Amino acid sequence: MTGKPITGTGDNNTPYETDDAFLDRSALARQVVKDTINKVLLGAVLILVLALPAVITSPTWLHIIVLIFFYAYLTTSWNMVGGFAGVLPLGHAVFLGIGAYTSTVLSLQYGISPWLGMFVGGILAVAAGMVIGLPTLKMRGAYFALATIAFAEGVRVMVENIEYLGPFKLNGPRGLQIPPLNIGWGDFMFSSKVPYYYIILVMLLIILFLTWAVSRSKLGYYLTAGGEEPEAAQALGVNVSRAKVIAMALSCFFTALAGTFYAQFSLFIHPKSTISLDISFEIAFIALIGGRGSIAGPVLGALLLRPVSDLSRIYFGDILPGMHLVIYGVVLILVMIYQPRGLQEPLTRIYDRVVNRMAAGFIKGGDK
Amino acid sequence: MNLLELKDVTKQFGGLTAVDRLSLSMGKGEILGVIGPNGAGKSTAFNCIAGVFPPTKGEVVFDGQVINGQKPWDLCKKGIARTFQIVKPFASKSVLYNVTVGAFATTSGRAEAEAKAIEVLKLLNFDDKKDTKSSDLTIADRKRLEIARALATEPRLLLLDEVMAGLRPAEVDEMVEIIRFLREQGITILVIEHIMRAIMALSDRIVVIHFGKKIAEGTPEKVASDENVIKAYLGDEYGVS
Ligand SMILES: Nc1ncnc2c1ncn2[C@@H]1O[C@H](COP(=O)(O)OP(=O)(O)OP(=O)(O)O)[C@@H](O)[C@H]1O
Ligand SMILES: [Mg+2]
Repeated sequence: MTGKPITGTGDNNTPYETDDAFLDRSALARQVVKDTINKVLLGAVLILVLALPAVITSPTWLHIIVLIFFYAYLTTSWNMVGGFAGVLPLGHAVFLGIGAYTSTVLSLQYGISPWLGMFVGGILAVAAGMVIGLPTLKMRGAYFALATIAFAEGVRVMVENIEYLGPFKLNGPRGLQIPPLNIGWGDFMFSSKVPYYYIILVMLLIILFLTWAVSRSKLGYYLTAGGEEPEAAQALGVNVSRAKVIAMALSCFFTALAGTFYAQFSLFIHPKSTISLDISFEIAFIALIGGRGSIAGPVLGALLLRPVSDLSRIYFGDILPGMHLVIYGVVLILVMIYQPRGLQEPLTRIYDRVVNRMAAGFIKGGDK
Repeated sequence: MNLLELKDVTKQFGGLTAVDRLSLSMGKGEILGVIGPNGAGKSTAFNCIAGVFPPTKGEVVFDGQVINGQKPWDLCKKGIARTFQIVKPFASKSVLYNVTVGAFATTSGRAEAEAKAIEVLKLLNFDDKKDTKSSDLTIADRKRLEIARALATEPRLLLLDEVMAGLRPAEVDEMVEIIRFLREQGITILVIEHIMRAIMALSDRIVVIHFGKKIAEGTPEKVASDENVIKAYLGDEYGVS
């Protein structure tokens, strides 16, 4: 389109070009400084997490940290559909289970490396996700949420009650034990926690990068638009259900990869430890409390809530199993009342303020 | 050739006939006004054109092609854009974000889409608000955002559903100026409006709808003096006495 801009009745073209240019330049300088500070801080965090196993040598602590990363990864995968697309999946553990069982069965029965089985599991999870998603993603939120719960529970009950699925041995409620025979990278099996730490760290970094890339892409814009105002989005050329289906496929795929990780990390899987509603709900809780639809939310949520879950298991594990979900519920209610967009919002605001102050300090210091 | 043609378009909701055998046509570059009392079926006719739902009967022809039953997102790519009577901004996002969603209709790259969005915002003298969250906008700016988003999809036919409702007189004048300017850019525009002063000043022709039926059509002057139209607006008693 060409042509002169319209100047409406109220003409707000200022004649103070030079002032504007000056303001622009100082704003630009501040932005550059802020970007640099952000990059330096990000680098520092990266170095910290890379060096962490050198400092923390206790396997118990490493185990807890691995599980924090694991949940951060799971929730970030969930966030692709549950956050950006504005729907509420409540049965994501089923994709975790599909990933765990697929790679484990392939490696136990056919000697296929879990690294390969991981991707087979991912593809199967996408197929399962389409079975639930294609008919329900078009509908309003509650139907989709209910369908995901029903599907996940159905699969769990089924797996608990069959020994074999065709030629594949699932072992019902007893689950599958992975004998630690072949230790090494090729078999995705280690006697130390450290390799697991680095594997889940890299997986987390990849999924975070991907989320960032998606949120800045056409797909990300379409998901947000379709989630907020579907009719308006459609009028602007957005095929809302198609965008949601793509997001669902991505989410299922990456969730299943975590299943293989979990199987190799614990070397024992059974229906209750993989396909349980507990896990499905915990993921959703972490996302909602941390802040769904944001990149930092799932990570913050996992960092803050996983310790709660571990502590509650230590102190209430025998008397009140599931106590952590009760605590989550209370926290969720409080967060939804005071910070409906999750804890990431106030935390991001504080972070921004600190960075702004630092940037101002640097610029002043530089002028002297 | 006409850009848009409705042939005996009927839309029923259960027993209610919201649009009743409506026919009209629009040449390229024309501004056609649609008026009628509340509940006359104006927005429903828009929805039939924009693909929100297919007409119960009749044909909608766009650029020589029957488009009945096609989806809104496909029609958008063919060159039909619309605004909503009740504005629907992506409320948590900035003005620029909102318009960029529209710009993605013609490109896949974000940088390109954003550049296009800024171009549109400049065109509407709206770029100073590009970073404002859309839920913080005044009603006039929300209407303007509706238009900006629609424009970013590069439409050939623009459907405007009461973009002046709720505006102050000065803002109405500005909106009239914007719509005229868009027509100069070669866009064909169908306008629903209740504000007579604006629609009279703006339209090349006006179609009057009452209970879903077309009761008059012609130049603004002709329509304004039409007996049926006066009756429809002021009630039967007025026409009889
Ligand atoms: N989706 C729908 N389902 C059922 N009835 C509907 C629907 N949309 C509109 N109607 C009915 O169709 C009739 C025409 O409504 P429409 O919104 O098209 O009127 P309008 O001319 O745009 O009125 P207004 O000037 O108030 O916007 C009304 O009686 C309305 O209640
Ligand atoms: Mg209407």
